[in-house]
Order: sequence, then structure tokens, then C-alpha cells
Amino acid sequence: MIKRSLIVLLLIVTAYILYPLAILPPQDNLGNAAAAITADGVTDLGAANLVTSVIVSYRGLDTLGEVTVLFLATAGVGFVLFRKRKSDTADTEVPRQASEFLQTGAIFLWPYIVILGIFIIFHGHISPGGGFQGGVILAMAFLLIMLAFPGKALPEGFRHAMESLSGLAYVGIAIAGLAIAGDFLNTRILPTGQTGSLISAGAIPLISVAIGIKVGAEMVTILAHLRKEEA
Amino acid sequence: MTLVSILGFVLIAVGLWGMLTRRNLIKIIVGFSIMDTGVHLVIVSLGFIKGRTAPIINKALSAGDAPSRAVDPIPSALVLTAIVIGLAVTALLLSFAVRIYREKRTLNIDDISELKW
Repeated sequence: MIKRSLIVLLLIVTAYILYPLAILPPQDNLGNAAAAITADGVTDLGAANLVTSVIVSYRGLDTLGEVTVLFLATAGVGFVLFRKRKSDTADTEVPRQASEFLQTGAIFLWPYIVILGIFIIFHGHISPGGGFQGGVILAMAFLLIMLAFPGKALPEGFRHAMESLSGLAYVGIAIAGLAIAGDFLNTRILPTGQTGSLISAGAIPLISVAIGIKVGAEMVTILAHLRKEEA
Repeated sequence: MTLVSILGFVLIAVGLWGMLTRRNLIKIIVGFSIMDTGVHLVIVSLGFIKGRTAPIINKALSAGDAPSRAVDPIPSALVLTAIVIGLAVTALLLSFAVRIYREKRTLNIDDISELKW
């Protein structure tokens, strides 16, 4: 009874908190920050996709923090699921083979999924996409291989190296922005180029690549931890 | 209130109800995911302006037109961030569930009484 009334109370409090958001009148115009970004974003940074401009440059510090949170969550998953190797019996046990359909399909689809992921990472500044989306697609390609061929995964050392190097590259580009262009994470350290072409928007594609590799490596690490748990 | 934001509030309510009333840890995590999705829908709908298009400059939307014809790019960027964080938090929650199952051989929170008051 006391549980039930506490639940109802909590729902009422949540409704009270969310109520002002619900009666907000629909907007007709952009807010000040959004108006400034949509008006000057293209001339400032040269990226056709304004959402990417916000993620990578205007609010780049948030993205750096977010990548840190992702790293912490991955480390947390590894820490929580850590188990001392009891004996070698668990390792020598051969996991059950996947079906032939899955194996053939995985080999067939793998290159296309990787190409799609790379495409989405490299086109983040001119079309919908970017490091996060492309990185997750890359991770899915490796998940497919992990499902089709149990026991085969990206070597742990390689994953950790990619993760660390891409994080280091991200922070390095950010500090280069501070040194050359005067602001932390300023992407105008490279010429902005012709808006809409592949090589444009200063350092935004480079940061996208760093984010993509980092997110992909983190995701594969999380999946590998959970996969190891199941086996 | 747009249809999307109403849907978002419904999903928040469903997810919160599920998190509070279910006894199985996996169902609680599913509830969290549903609530997460609802929050994303609400944030995206806050930046939406009726009749406008995505804030991506191309042939259909010139840079000069953008302030008058594009929606707010900031909520979209925030939601992209929130989706990735939600994924990381869900993975962490699931690994806690795995760990609890490994120690206790149960996922029912009524059987896990150490933290009961």
C-alpha cells in the first residue's frame, strides 16, 4: 500500500514538473542562439549540416564531455562484468558454430556495412550523419562478425589502441584550435573551403573521423564484454 | 502541443510506470529505454517549427534562407548526444543486471533484500 501511494505521488510530481513544458506555445521563430547559428553558421564554419556544426564546433565541448561519458560507461561495463579466470576450461571450450546462412551473410554484408559507416562518417558535415552514427554502424559490422564467428573478435589491444589514439586525436585537434585559431575546439584551423564539397568545413571532418573511430571502438568493447559474459 | 510531443509525454509516462511497478530488472531497464525515447521525442518537438525544413544547406535551402526556413538545430544536436548517452547508460544497467544475476541467480527485485528499508 505504501509502495503504491509513493508511486502515485511520484507520477503526480513528474506530471507537475513536465506540465510547463507541455503547455509551451508552438514557436513561430527561432530562438536567439538558433537564429545566430542558422544565419552565420555556414559562413563561419563552412559546414552545410548545421546540426553537425552545433555538435562539433559550437557545442564541441559538450561532445568532448559526452565522449568521456561514453568511455566511462564502457569502463564501467568492463569493471562490473570483470571475472577472474577460474581455469582454462572456459577458454578451451569451443563455442557452438553459427549457422551457414549467418556466416555466408555476414561475409557478404560486412564490406558493405563498413563502407556505409565510413561514408556516413565522412559526409557528416554535408548531409545527415557524422561520427556517432557512422561509428555505431561500424560497430554493427563487427557485431555481425562476432555473431557469425564466435571466438573471432577484434583483438583487445587493437581496440584499446584505436580508442586511445582517436581520443587523443580529438583532444589534439581541440588544442590545435586553441593554439592556432584562438579558441578551444575552433575548427577553423584548416581552410573552410567550398561549402557542400567533401573536403570543406575546416577540421570538422577530422573530428568526425576521431569521434567515429572512438564510438565504434567503445561500442565493440561493450558488445565484446557482454558477449564474453554469455559464452 | 504537437502530436510528437504528446507521444513523447505518453512514452515518458509509460516508461516511468514500467520502471516503478515492474519487479523484473530487465523490464525495469526496458522501462528506462522507453522513457529515454519519450524524452528524446519531447526535446526534438521543442525545436520543431511547423512548415520548416531540416537545417542542412543544399540546393533546396540556400544559406540566406536558413534563418526563415530551417528548424532549430540545437535540440537535434542535443538529442543526438542524449541518444548515445542513453545507449551507454543502458549498457551499464544491463551489465549490472548480469552481475546481479550472476551473484543472486535471480532478476526479481523482491528477492534482492539487502537494500530494503
